Amino acid sequence: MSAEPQSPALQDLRARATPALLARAVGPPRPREAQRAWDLLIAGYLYLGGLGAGAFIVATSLGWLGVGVGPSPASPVGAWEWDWAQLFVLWGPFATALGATLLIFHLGRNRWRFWSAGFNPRTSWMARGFWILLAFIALGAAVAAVSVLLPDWPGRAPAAWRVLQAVAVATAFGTAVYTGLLLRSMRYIPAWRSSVLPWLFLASALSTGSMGVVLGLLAYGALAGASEQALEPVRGIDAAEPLVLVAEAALLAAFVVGLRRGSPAGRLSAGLWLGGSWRLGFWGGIVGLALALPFALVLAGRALESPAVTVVAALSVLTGGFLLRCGVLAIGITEAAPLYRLACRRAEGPATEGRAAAEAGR
Amino acid sequence: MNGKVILVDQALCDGCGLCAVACALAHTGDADPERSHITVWRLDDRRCAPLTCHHCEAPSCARACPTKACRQDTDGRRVVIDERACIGCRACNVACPFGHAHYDGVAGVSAKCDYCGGEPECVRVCEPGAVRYVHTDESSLHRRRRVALAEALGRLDPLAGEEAGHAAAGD
Repeated sequence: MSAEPQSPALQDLRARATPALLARAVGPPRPREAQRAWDLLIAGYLYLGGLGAGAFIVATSLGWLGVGVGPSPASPVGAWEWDWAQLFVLWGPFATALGATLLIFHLGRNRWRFWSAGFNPRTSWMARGFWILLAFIALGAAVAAVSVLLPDWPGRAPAAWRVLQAVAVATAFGTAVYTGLLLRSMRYIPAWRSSVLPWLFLASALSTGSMGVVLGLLAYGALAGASEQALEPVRGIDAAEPLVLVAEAALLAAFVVGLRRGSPAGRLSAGLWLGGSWRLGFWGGIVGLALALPFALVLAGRALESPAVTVVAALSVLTGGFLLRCGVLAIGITEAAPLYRLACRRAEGPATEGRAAAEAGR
Repeated sequence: MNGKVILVDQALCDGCGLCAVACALAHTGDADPERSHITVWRLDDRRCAPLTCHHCEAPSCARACPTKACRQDTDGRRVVIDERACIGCRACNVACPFGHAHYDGVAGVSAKCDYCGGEPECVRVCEPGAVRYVHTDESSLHRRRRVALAEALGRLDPLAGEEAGHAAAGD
């Protein structure tokens, strides 16, 4: 300590800086903690973004294949010919809009300036995502609105209708992949930097979206008394869902293997899932609820022709899909810079210090 | 700011924590070190490491910011966050490889070191002189002297005299 007399400002600071405050100001190195800046609300944003996009892709594809729902048996209001059955399958853009609303509530005191989030698309994936989501929500909502309110219009302008649908589906694909690209752009977090992650999120968007549409179809069938009409597209989705789940499982395995073969922070992230604090969420939630259980149930439901089994499978996929987003955020450990690795190993003990010093000096 | 950067010398830090309290007070009016832009790690019984923003030449925090609230100053010497334009998305927090950009839950915006407009509080209150605000020429001279001294002594200690300013991200 200096023996020189302290300035009044410094004396005042010393008086205000109580031992308790100073003790909180100095702590152990913390370079190996998972990020906590993006939490449950961001998981919800990523999940609903993917779910809505996946549901829209599946619902529109069913229409293209000629096994879509509707036309609804009767208009609920007056003589206007609404095709209200479409509401049960074309809700994807609104789910994504709900996810974007969750993001707004995650923001800070200037949250109502959220519209400025698109100002930096040149380098920021969050800004690019703003425009991708905006395009999908607007175009998807337009497709849904026409399908429900003006069911005759597509027949009068089929080319324009196909173009609108195709562009909306393209933005839906963009939304599903973007949720992974946003995380991948954080290049100092090895668990997110994986090139597999956007495709894993796309597969999860399709599996959760399919099951969301199945739930919508079953609800429509129950409400409208049109079970057989609603069950036809359900059978189609049930036929494809095991393939989507197998693809998702393969991508998940590639993602984990990539982490285990990668950098130290990546191996730590994989360890959190495989045997660490997130093992129950990974094995029970992501592997069990999102993949294994619904795979078995969808096959059983198909054989048994049981809507109840299909409903359980759908709820399982939807829960597991949310846990996948939570799990990926929870293992976001930043790759420590060389000097920080050295600091960390010094705190751990002298045995590793020499190797770390050599590493830091490289 | 006039080609100056913060230079940290861990060998001189006594771990008093005053820099963190002074920083928090200067920026928020609150002495809570959680709101400070400088962190002090206790490495062992003798050594501490004050850590603050490196003001990277290619700042990943500014690249990730969707609103351009986090940006490089026109002279390229500082990376600052405009709290009026920050929406609090925390993309900069997640993007920073050093964890320096942080979310101030009380203020509702992300925050980081801005050199206090040219007179850093952490430097003013650091009596051992572990945190200094020096011209970039001086900092590089300091680094060259340290490396030369370490080579002469046959031992390189990379933690002594870490340059906090002008490091490329991931350095």
